[in-house]
Amino acid sequence: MFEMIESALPYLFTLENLIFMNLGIFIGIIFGAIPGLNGNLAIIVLIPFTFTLGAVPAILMLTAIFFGSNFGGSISAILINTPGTNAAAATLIDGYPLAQKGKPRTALDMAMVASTFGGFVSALVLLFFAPQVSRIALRFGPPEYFALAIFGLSIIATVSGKSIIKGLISGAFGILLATVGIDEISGLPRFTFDQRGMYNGLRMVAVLLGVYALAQIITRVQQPDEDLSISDLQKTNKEDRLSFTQFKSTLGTMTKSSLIGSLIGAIPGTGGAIASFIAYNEAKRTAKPGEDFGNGEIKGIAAPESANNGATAATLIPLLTLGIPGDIVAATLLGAFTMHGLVVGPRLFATSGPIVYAILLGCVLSQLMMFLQGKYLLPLFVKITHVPQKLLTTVLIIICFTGAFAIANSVFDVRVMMVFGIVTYFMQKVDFPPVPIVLGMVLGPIAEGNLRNSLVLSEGSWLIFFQRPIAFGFIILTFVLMFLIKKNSKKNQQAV
Amino acid sequence: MKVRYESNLTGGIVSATFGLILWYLIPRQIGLDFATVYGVSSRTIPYGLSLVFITCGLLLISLSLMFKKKIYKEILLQKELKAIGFMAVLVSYAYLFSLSYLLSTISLGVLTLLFSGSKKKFYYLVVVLIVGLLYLVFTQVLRVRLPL
Repeated sequence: MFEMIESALPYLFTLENLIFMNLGIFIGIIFGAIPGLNGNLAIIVLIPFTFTLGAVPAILMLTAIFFGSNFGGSISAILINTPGTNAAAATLIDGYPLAQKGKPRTALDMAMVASTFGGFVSALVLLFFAPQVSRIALRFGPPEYFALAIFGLSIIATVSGKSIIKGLISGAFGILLATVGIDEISGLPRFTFDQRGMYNGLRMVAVLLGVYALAQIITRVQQPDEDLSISDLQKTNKEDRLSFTQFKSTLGTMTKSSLIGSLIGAIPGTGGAIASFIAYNEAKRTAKPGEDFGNGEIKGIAAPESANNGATAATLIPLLTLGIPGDIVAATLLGAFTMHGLVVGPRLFATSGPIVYAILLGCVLSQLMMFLQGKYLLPLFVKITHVPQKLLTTVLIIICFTGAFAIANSVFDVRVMMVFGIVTYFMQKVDFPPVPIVLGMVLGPIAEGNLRNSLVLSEGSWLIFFQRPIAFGFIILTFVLMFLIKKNSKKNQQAV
Repeated sequence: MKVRYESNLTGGIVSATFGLILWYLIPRQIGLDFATVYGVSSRTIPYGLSLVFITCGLLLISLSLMFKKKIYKEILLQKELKAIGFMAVLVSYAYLFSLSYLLSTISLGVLTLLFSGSKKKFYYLVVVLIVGLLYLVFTQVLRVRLPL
């Protein structure tokens, strides 16, 4: 492993990488800070722009956006009691009250330090554990991949929101979209409607832009402008800074929360939001006398921020090692990896070791850049969030459509983005969630292709999925997950 | 004017109908597969998905009608007509894009601001400048050909 790290260093330490990582952090923080935007939207919008970059700077920039956005979400959570991202929802419980007490800068400093701490832990977990998981995954064959894809598809139930049935419909729609084009095994066209553009299938980035970006933009255009501008950071007194004593007092909380975040982030279907609430509850549960959670307690900021950034890099573990995206951000990054010729999965480390390690090390380095940007540019970030929503929405739609064309120099992708933006808008009117569409589109082909290959291996026997221990293990995990979701859902209903 | 509808019932009808349409389309859009692998062909997954749509659709309909698990939603017709008008703009843009990137995108930007209710002339100028800038970035820096 250390040889790999050594061979990755020349790939990592280039001026281009350093510039794009910083740019990614900068964009991520801004997108995270503005309510209504988020890091995933930034990643989707910017993927087409990275086409001319090398794989390493492109992926580093996009992952840096992800890291930055999680910290950015805390800015609006603390200053206007509105989380910029879902993952910052727990931060406002103590962040906003502390800001109201006249200590906004202390709260923001704590968020910045905790985000950096959590991000470091997460990046180190990714660096050390991903190669180990990848070695185990090298033993996977088609039956294991099929079972894993089914397990991944069951995650749809966790990201479905209130209705699992509607989530299944969205997921099925996503799988259906993936069947468009030439079937890999038989060579037959499917659902091409004699349109030349359809023979190559629907490009995932174009669908993502429509489903995730355009649908939101249509909603924003029809709604009246909400004034969610963040007030400037007033020139606060020198006492409104995070002291070393305060930092020391939160070290234990940050360590525990970062590990909670990393563990939860590595589990598909979870993410920063869940991690931040679990960490917050744990910190509150173990509060010492005098720690007033809910009224501006500094550990009440440290815990969720460490956890939500702790989940970030760890989210990439199932994506890089198994090729299974655990959430929408990972699914989006999958599109980026594919666009840059990196096939995620267990063979990734074998075929592109130095590049992958450069990316993993870059994730560690990004945390330092995030800290420096947060320390010196915080007032600027707050100012930038004053950009009027109407102008921002218009600029976004222009960038999205231009980016859609740039994917493959094809007007067809512009039309795909347009169609799926409109379709998703109407789907959301009947509460069909959009996230399962993307998961279905990614996992559907994996499931289908490996099912057919498994049946060839087993000469038609479906018992192959039960005779291979790892495949059988994933099937059991799928049922366990479904049972836990059902149990949790019943508990929630009883609570209501 | 407000329009009220029941989300489960509407979603169920849409899903079941979509599933039936899909079932009808499959033999017309996917040829006969001579590479069938132990019963699994190019049509298997699409047929399976069709069944998922129909089954889930019927489940939603029964949730609404039989188990009375209704979720009512309201939409303002005026707002939705505005959204539909905006969608017409998007459809037009998607087809005019191939004729001229600059003209079609500037028009999209201007119309988006109009639909958002923006009256500040400065925003319109910013949008025109950004379109121009994007055109230069894509054609000169990223070397992506855009229809002029």
